[in-house]
Amino acid sequence: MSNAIAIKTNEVQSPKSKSKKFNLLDKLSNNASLILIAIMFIAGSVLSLCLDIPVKSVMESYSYDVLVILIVMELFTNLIAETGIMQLLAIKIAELSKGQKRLCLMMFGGMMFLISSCLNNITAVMIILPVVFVLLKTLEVDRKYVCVFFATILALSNTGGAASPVGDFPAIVIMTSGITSFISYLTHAFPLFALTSIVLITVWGMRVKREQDDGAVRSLAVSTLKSQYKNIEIRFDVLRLLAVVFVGMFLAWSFVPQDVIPPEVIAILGYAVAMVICSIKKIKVRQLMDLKSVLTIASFLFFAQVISQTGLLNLVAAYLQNNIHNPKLLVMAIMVITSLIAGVFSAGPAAAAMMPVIVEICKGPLGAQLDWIAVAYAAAICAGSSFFMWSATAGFILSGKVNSAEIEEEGGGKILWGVGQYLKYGFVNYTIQLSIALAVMGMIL
Amino acid sequence: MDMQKTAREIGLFETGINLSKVCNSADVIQKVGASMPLPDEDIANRVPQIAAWLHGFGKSKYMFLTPEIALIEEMTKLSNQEEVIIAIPCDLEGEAKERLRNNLPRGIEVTILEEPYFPQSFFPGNGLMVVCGYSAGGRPMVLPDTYRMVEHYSGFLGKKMFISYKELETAARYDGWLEVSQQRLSTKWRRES
Repeated sequence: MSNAIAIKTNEVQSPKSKSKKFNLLDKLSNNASLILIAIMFIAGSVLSLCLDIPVKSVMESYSYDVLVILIVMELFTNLIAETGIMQLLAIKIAELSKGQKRLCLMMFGGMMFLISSCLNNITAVMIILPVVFVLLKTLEVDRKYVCVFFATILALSNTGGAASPVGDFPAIVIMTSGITSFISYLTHAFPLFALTSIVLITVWGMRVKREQDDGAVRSLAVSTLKSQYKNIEIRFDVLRLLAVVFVGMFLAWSFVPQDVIPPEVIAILGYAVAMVICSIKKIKVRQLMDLKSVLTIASFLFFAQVISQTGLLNLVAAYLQNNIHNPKLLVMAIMVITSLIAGVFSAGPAAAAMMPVIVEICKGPLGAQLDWIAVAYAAAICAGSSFFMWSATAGFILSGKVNSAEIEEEGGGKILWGVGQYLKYGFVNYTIQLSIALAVMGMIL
Repeated sequence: MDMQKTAREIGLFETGINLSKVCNSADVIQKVGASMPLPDEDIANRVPQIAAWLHGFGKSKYMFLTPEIALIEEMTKLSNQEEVIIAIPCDLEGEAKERLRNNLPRGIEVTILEEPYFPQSFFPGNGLMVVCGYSAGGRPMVLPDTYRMVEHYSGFLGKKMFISYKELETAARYDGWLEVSQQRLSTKWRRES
């Protein structure tokens, strides 16, 4: 017996020692984003020291305001989510669509766009997903539908985020850069991104075949979903007050000059009021946020700031301006470059890196079209962030959730949705978004 | 379409009520009919009768081994003085647990008890245990986690009621269902013909 144990121990030890290297690689790949954050901060600091740029002067022009708004909007979204309204909306959509897959896709997509335009898109995705999973599992969807559905949701969370100045990180960067005002950005960007979203919804909606059944299974799926959420408490009393606070924030962002009350202060004030309301009304004030994404953005903002202080970005901007004399073509070229950078390096870093270039270009002959340049820049980042799974802010989080939901095909196979599955859909999303943005800019500028 | 999974989250009666509206469909019969008996069309009418029957025992605590939301909602209409304990299996998915916690009927005190914990102050004098399933030729059939919980809470010496959402005349056993020993149950609810 003891021999048997000894042999088994040896067997276990042998692969263990071999797998040590793999474990290390696994750990490194699992913490890739944290390592990237550290590298960006260290590389930025080393670069600034080597080029004799004091880190203090880098930090003096650092965009703290962007981080503050980003964090506050995520926390504000948590408060809205606690009222239960998002689940209610999702269930109403399922009910209205009668479980028809095409309508589900179109309506959930529309909802995603509208929510992402006001609130943090990662939190919005997280809240809607459980309801969506319950519905999809009962509807018996296939692999193709899951890919189309979540590709649409991902793209629309990006277009929604870019449609308003507080929807997502790039839009916040633009708003705080001073090249456009809150209200100008909103009035210029919202129609463009709403149009883009309609096109995306239509294109993907048409890819879903109409059901050829008697509708009983779909009806069962919807009634099951309603049963699972029939007793949830929707706190309309709190929601009304939060809506008043949010409208107040929106108005303040729109009409109070940034140098009188900066946007981040408005965000903090609004959140503080909302928090007090929720505490009085006995709503959980969850102070949860995705610190990793905030740190990633913080690190890239720092690195971009260092690069900006070296004067390199001014040279890039000057080079582009000197070689492309037609202002319209110049904007379009920058849009393509920005979108590709956003695609490869994701939206946050691209926004941080390209912003100084945009600011420089705005000082040139395109100075009269600042609002549209801001929108063009946002549209390029938005298109790029729909290109690959890793480009979008919510990409990997969404993919992880979809895979852990264990949605099964009719045959019983588990449906996976990751980088590979998204690739061709991402390319279509990118092409559609960039084409529309380029066409609109070509007509307007 | 895994209706057994759904039943673990909303109970057999709520699932049955949803199914009864579409159980004439060939699609539904094909997809659901193999995993559980399809309910009678009048299942929704029987729920108030069952609630009244349970209420008639005059206990103050009712412990359900399946989250019978439909049944508990009917009980709230009869009295709000009672307390309902819903025992949930230890292997129920985290999200399903969270959904269930947010979906508890209102108007009556409902608490969730996670297996393997035991309820506080739950005695034969004040409490009653409710086991739901279907009956096949008089044999009580339950889902595997209900079976496990029947065994786990077998130390309770009070009344253990078996309520079937469907009474089959034949002794048909559906895939994934287990027969509970008659000795583990004290009373069975029978449909009035």
